[in-house]
Amino acid sequence: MFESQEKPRRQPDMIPLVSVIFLLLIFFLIAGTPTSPAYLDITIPQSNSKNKISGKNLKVYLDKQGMLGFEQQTMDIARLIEIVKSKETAINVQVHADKQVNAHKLISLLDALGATLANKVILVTEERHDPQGKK
Amino acid sequence: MFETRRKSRRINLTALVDVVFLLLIFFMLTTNFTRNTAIELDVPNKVGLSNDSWKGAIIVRPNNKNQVQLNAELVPISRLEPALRHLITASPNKKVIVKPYNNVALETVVKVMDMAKVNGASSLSLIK
Repeated sequence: MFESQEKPRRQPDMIPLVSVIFLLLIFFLIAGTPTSPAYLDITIPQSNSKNKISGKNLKVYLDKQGMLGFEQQTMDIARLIEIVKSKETAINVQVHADKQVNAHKLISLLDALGATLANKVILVTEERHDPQGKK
Repeated sequence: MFETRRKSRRINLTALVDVVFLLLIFFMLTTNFTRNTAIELDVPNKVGLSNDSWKGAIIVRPNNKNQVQLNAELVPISRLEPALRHLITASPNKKVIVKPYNNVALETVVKVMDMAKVNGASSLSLIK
């Protein structure tokens, strides 16, 4: 009577599931921007600037204690300048600085970068969504 | 001879699904969707203050008590905007130098730079 139920079990068809997951994966890869590195805790300031970040830049991180991060490691200004100076062509530097860092630390970094081939330094900020947010 | 084999073979996708799920979770956790924008900063040696073009620039000096010294006058940051707009409109070259006091958070400096830009500053310089 129950013999018919014991026929070989069919495996569920996984192909639609794989397609959907791939789509989601590609969406997150393209639409998202990676957050700051895990070794430094950085919250960038908000601004009304509409300038987009373009081109290839060296990414430098500056946390609220003034600790510098570059290429997955922390370092002091002197070491960073040594690395930037070793680059043979003029480069752009992109600074991701924490909103609570002492502004003088950023200015010291700018001063130091002035002695290198860095031809443009940009400060990365988060676009402000609040239209009243000028204040 | 090989007919029976051909009939029932399907690729096992479970391992692939596992890996793709892991990647998906990784990207979901490490991405954010806020748009990043840029403020271009002067590299001091390229546009130095010794340059004559910065003569007569407006000097804005934020401190850490939510006040800003605008040329010689001390203004609360909430009332900075109209005062700054007035000065920039009257200024011939519309250049602004932001010179924060020590221990001023970058957030405050960015706010002041933003205000200057919105109110018509042509170039901004950040110095110590």
